[in-house]
Amino acid sequence: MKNMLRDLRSERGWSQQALAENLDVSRQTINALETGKYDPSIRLAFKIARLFGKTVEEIFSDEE
Amino acid sequence: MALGKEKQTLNMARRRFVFRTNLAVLIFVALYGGFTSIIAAPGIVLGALLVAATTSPLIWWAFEYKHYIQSLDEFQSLLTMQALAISAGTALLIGSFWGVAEQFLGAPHVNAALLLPVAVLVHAFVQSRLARRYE
Repeated sequence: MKNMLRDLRSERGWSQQALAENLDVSRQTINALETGKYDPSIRLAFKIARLFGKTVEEIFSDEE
Repeated sequence: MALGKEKQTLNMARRRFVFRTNLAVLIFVALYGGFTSIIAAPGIVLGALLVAATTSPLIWWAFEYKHYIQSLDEFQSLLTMQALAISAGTALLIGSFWGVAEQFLGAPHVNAALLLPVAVLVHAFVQSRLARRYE
């Protein structure tokens, strides 16, 4: 699954650590999400979407 | 500093987990080895007490493990469960190989009670490798 997490984070000038704290997850989790090594649960995907003011589909796509 | 707080909390939780689970297993091995060398054939009542006393650190180990996993986020929890699956499988494989070696090669007998300490050693190695991959 592809996502725009790194771009959205960079647009806001946030570090991985800052984003991790906003989402209440570890920095390793953000790293794994951004590098596509881990697909989030639906709950976390919605949390990310809410944080960036977008829909889940705008951030995540099912392309390989 | 606010940015380092989450990392510090995670590291502290991990350190506490590693310390407590390793201590529980060490106490288990010490009690098992100690009681085995002192008492050869206990009666039913003493035997039951020895089983309860020796295995109580394992209950503590299981409790700490559960508590640690519940404190993690979903990805960290997944990594820890992967490490548990790999370490349990490895310990079972080692146990089976060793059993066959005991049967056909005359390898020294090792009690199956020591499977968990083997799994804990493998778990520590696997978890550190998995965690490093996402640093």
